[in-house]
Amino acid sequence: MRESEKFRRQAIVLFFAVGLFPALIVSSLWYVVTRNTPGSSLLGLGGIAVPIAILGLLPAIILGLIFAELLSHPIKLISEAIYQMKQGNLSYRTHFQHDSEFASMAADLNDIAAGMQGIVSQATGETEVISAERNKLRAVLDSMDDGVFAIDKADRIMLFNKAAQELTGRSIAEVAGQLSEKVMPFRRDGELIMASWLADRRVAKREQGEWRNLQLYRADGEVLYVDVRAVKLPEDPNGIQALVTFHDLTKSHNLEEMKVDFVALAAHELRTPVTAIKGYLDVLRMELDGKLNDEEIEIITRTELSAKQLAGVINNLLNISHIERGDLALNFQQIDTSKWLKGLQKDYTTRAHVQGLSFKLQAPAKLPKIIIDEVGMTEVLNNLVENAMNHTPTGTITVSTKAVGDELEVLVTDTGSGIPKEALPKLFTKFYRVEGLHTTKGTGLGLFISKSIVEAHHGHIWVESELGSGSTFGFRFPVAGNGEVPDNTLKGVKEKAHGWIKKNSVR
Amino acid sequence: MAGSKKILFVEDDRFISDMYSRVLRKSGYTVDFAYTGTEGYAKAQAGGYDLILLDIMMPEMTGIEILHKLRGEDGSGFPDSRIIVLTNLAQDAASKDALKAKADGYLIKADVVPSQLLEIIASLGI
Repeated sequence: MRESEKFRRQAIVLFFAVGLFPALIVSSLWYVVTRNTPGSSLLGLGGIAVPIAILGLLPAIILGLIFAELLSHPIKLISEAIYQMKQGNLSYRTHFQHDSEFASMAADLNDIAAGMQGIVSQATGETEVISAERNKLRAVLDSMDDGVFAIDKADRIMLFNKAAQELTGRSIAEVAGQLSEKVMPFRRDGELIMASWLADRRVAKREQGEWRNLQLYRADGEVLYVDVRAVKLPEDPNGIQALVTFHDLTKSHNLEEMKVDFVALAAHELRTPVTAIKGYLDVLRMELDGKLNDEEIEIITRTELSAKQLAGVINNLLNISHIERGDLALNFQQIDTSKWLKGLQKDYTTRAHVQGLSFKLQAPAKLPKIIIDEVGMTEVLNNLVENAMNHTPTGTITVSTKAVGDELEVLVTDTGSGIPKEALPKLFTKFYRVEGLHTTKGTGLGLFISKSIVEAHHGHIWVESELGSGSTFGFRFPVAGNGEVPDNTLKGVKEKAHGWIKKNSVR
Repeated sequence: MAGSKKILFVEDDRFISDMYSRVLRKSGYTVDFAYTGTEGYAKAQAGGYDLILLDIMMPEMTGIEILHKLRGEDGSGFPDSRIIVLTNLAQDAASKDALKAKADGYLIKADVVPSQLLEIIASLGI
């Protein structure tokens, strides 16, 4: 029973009891008065006393009812309002017509209800937003083509989107709670690479956080080639330590491999005819030795140079396929720097002469010996000198070199057209060719290859240029090699760019 | 005079072997040819060559295989013949294979013109 109801009943009982006393007093008085009156019998007069007493009770009951109602009504209203709030009906409001303490209490109660309603509706709204966001996030994750998964502190998988399931052939049930190194082992050349390590490294080294061409084995044992990105989320309330995204590149990886194989094969096939062209020109020169006039010798020289250039292009194509396969095998040997440069000087001078240019080699008498892959570094210098000649209509190409600390610096300077400023940052990227230059020569590979080779020597390559006044390409590398122990398999063997011959070959 | 020196040229591309041998013959060498790996191996085994020039990529048998067979396990076979690989395979691996198989030299065809080959042979005292 509710308090207000109890109160009402108590009030009625109270007024009834209060009304009973005057009724008893009135009826008793009436009895005393009428007893002494002659002619009246007890029954006659006393008989009226009881109904009168009862009549006296009536106003008491009515008054009781009215007072009880007046007193209990506000309590009933407030109690109802509290009851409604308790039931969760926060929009319920109670009303009082008159000013009273009850009215201000009711107004306070209404305010509390309104305040609570506001808080609850905000919270409800947020919950709805959160669950909507969660659904949206799930939809986004599942609609992605890239595989996404999350790991906790213990490297266990917490989240695994649809693409991840499809790409790996593993269901959520199979991977949930499993160690990522067990079910999602990324590998590079067979070596396991932990997802958490990738994420840590990104933070520690401030790297872009992308690892290219990692291998990932599907549930069926097939290998996928993927680019992986890992992001650390140490503050995540759900306990996600890192989020890992992987992009499937298997198709393009295979295509790329086919392309590289094709380029290597094509380049190799091109070598044979170039060999014949160069060789027969050489035969011609030998057999007609002394019988050719200057003009005829010039024609042979130019044809030879073209064949050499063609051989250079083919070498670049072969180099590209090695670089892309990651097997740019360099053979480090200690060589005499001055001898190396002087050997190249002859070719560069002839070439410059044919194009109406002059060539200068500026080198100090004493240069340190260097440990390099001679074939590779010659390729670098060839590319730079060739570029300089292609972009210099008149003037001089200068190769200058000097030792700087533990490094050797080589500069190739031309007096040519120069390179537009906006092109400079892109010069060393693959297939990049400066637009709008008068020459259309070059494959756009030479500088990319040169950069790769110089970097494999732990060196760096750069360019400075001003439009209209020429360019300088420079590279620098440690004279002591790249830190790898020089390959001694060919020790005792006289090695040249074109191969090697054993020194003591006399048997 | 190099007149008495015998050279075996094992090369499946006639165009190439003609080119080199033309110069070699003019310089007085006697040049024999083989156009497949097996033919090359058979001729080399018959012996009598001061120099064997070996291509690598050939039908039936590669130059490296021929080298292994001629030189044997301990590399002592055919001590009187110098064997030089003459190929367009510029890979480091191929070069090292040749060294292991006891070749006396490894030359890249595209980078060695006939007159240079002549100089190299002469420098070996052949």
